[in-house]
Amino acid sequence: METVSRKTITVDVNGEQYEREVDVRRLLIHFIRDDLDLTGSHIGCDTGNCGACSVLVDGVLVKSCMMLAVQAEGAKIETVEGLAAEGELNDLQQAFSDHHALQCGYCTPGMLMSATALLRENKTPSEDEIRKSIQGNICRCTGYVNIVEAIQAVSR
Amino acid sequence: MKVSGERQFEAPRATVWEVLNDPAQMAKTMPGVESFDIQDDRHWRAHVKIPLGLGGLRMSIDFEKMEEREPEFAKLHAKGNGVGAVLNMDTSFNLVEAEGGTNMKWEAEVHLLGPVASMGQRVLQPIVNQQVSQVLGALDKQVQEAKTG
Amino acid sequence: MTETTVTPERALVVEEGDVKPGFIGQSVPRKEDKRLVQGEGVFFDDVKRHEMGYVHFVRSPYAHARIKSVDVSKAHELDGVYGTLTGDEVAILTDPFFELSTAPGANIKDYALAVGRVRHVGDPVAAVVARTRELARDAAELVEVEYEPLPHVLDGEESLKDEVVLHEEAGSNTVWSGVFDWGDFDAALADADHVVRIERLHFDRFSSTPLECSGCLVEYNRGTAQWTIHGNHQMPGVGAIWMAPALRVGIDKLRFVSQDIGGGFGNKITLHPQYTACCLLARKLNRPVQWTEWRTDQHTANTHGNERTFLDVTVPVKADGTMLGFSVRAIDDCGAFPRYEPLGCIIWAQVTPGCYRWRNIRVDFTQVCTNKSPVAPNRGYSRMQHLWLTERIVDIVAGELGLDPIEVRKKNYVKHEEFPYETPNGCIYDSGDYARCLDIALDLIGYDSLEEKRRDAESRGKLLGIGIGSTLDSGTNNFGQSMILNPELQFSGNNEVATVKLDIFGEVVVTLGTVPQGQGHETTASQVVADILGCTPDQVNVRAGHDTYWNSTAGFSGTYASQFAVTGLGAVKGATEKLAGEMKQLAAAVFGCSPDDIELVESQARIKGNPEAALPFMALGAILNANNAGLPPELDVTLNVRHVYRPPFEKPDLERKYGNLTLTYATQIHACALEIDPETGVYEIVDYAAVDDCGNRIHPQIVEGQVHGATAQALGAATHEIFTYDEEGNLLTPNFYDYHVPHALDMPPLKTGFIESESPFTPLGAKGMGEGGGAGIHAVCAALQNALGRRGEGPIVWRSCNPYEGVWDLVQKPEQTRKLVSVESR
Repeated sequence: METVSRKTITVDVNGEQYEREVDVRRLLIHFIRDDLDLTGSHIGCDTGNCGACSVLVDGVLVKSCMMLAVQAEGAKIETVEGLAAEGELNDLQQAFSDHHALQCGYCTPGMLMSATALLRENKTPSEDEIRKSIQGNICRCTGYVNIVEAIQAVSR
Repeated sequence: MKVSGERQFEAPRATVWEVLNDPAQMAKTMPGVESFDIQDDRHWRAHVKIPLGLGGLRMSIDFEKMEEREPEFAKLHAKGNGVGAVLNMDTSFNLVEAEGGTNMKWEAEVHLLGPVASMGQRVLQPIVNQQVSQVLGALDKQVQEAKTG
Repeated sequence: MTETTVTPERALVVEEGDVKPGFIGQSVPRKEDKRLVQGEGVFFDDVKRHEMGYVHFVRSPYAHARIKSVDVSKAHELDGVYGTLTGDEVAILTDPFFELSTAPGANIKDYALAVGRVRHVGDPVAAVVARTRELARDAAELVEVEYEPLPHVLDGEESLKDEVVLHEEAGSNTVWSGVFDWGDFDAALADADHVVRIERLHFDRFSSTPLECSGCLVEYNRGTAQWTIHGNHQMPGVGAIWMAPALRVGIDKLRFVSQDIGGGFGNKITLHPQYTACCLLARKLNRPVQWTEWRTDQHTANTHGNERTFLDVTVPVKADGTMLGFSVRAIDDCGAFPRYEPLGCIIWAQVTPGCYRWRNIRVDFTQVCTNKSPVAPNRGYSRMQHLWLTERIVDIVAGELGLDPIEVRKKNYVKHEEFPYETPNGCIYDSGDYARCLDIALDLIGYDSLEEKRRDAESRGKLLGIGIGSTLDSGTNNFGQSMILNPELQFSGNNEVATVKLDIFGEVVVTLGTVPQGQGHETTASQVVADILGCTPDQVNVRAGHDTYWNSTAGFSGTYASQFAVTGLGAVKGATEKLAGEMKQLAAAVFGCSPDDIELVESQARIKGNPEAALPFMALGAILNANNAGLPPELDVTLNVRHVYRPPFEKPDLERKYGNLTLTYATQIHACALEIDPETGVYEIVDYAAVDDCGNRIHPQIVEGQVHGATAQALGAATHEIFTYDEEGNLLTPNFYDYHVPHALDMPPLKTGFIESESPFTPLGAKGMGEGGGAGIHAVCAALQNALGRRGEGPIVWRSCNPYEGVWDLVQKPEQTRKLVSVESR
């Protein structure tokens, strides 16, 4: 069996710099969760379908299970942990709570990142645009009804 | 899944039989064979790369000749292993003289197991069809070479 | 008689007959949210231990095979591999898991890893532990297993023949078999004006596929021989009952800890085999081991919902549309290992006649093993399959006799005045108003303009159908029903525990016995406590999650079967009332008055009518815990109260298979309007309404959220979600790429309505709810039938899952399904 090589990478996550040595085959989501101890982003599948691992990489919404950690070298990564400033929920997070847009909370970080990406681009999305923006995020608990409502509430 | 078919060869039956029963010649017809070794006249192993998935699926396939009645009938069993795939195949062929050539009727029962099978179900039939037609095409070539050579 | 009301701006009564506004009934902010929206929840995979090893299972590619050899030597040679576990070791170190059934099912030998044979694709054969997740996978590929393939059986009816037997020790694939016969079906048959016969109906395999996969982090303490399992098991009490005897240890040696769980829906109840393997590894390797299930493993080798075939359905009907009952032969396919089964063979009997007043019912029920994934109590467990049958019966009978399915339902529904209603097998439906719920549902989808909508659809080349799905969420089980299946089982009744205490600084702390996966238990518990103690939910601290060592659990503790509002909150109410009593006693002792003179208001204990004489909670806590000299010796208070709620159940009559099997029955009535494109089979739900009645709603937003979620899952199961196998036994939908679960664009516009029929049997008049009984599946099937069926001619919707290509088949070849139904008119 060939030896797996390692590489040192530097990333900025939620405004903080990290330098770590990783296996070149390590997925970005595992790097975030296991190496950086940022366990807010979750894993729900093994085929890149569920969106629980969604993060922003240089402003682009990415499923971090579909990316290698080494591909994120030098990137600016935003995860759910960066949304609330010093424990104060941002408007989107508060709206999720107000509208009961989460039950078990497992898909929630991914949903929040998808919604964040949407709202940066489009401050007043239609319901259809909202649904399309979270099409890549699977939720088994809510039926999406309240999630859409929460995002609508913030976009008015 | 079962696959079967029929093929005409413009060559005497003995020639076709010889090609089919020579592992070295058969190896040239099988697509994606990277190497093979012959253990005895009834057992041989081929290392193949099947065009499935990223970079192809590598397998080691053990062939065993189960039955034969020269020059008309043979039956083979193949058992292969690769990452995420297990292959079991039984194949047999019948040769009959026909109008200056040979008529071959063949059939194969192919079992593919493992995650590759679950995920590749939809493409399995087309890939098997493609592999079969490649084998038959190459077989034609081999038989022609054997006839002239 | 119960009151029902549509607009509950209700004042809630919690104690002593005083009507006062309370937190129960309000949608208070959820306590769970703050951490979850910040990604600060703690799911088991978030927990880490220094030097822990990662587990990867080696799984069978064969549906059925003998294991000739397992060679782990090459895996051990890989640098970074800590160790392995094989079936041979498991067979020596553990005893087979306890089986619930009678013989032959009782003789099945079920271990943590496959021993001697593999019985479904994905059956775990060996486990490897390594330094990293990636290395564990590498090492697993180096394990060499030699198999001798065996013939396999993938169909329930085929399995009955016992030509291919999965468990040689049992000698048969039949796990359990029995006949249920209530009323007098033969007399009903003789009395009928029409007899409708349905040859076959099939409820397909699917599951709620929770987003978080199963898993655990197991630590073993050598000094105390005790395991701590950080996992997501939803019913740890029962998990321990399986695991402790298998591991040959006392039950207190297994500590289950969980905080947040990413959905369970019944699929995290039979994790004991994989957990046991991890326990053995943690002990063998003397290091913590961590196992996270892959999505593919969850679909292939965790659990599915029960697959059930209904044969020879016979329905006697009177000329006016009154149905007298039905008889059916049911074959339940439970996959390779029963585990929680055969409970599914009786659980359906909680709702034997569905929503209907049918008195003569005969069910011949057999459960068999097949070489497919084992099943578990997936959301709606066993009742959903049976209720689907009753709804198909109503629609097919109405269709064949040219009757309006709405009128037939109303004619046959249990009537509002008849509650509490005793079913033919002695179950007591506590309260409800099905006809009223149906009317609300019809109103929400604009049923009055149905004909207009149908013509409009036709003008666009589409076929419009409207269908109803009536369902019941029976909640709070009487586990005595298991004795009907096996009289030797020692399970009956039910329980749940809660502990409520007043800490030294006056903080109220609640410890639940349940294992929430998003149902908001922390929040609703705090509402109940706040109303009793006269404080606010914010002032009530509810410990997040579950820990066996909090000592607040009993045998049936867990979160399953739509019961928290009854059992969990019943325990909370009981404990809090006792605590309130103690607080009053203590205050009375301090003030020198009678406890009856004390009231708990605004976080204080004070003398009624004398607001100056008040002791804040902090004072009470401090006095008892730290400053108790001088208290009267006979004062017996702890301010730390543990209460076990026990629903009022009797053991059922095993002979007649008769008795009350569940305490509450929540209703959901759904109406679905869809349009089919007959040229492609594609259909679109154009309007949808769900009306629920779960008695007093503790937290309306949470109740509605459950209705939304159950509807989404049911719609997925109705259209795309199905676990099918190829002829080799490979699962064709092993991941989210192939198994399509609804996403935001798939959901139709969803309208909801509700009524509240208080339960006369429960501590808070609330009923358990949440499973949703598969109402969406019933409604979609009914709507498809309505769109396609023509009396005596059109196709019959006979399966629960109707993907577009299936509908196309129904449209193209109606004669194929038409022959499943016959009508004998006298």
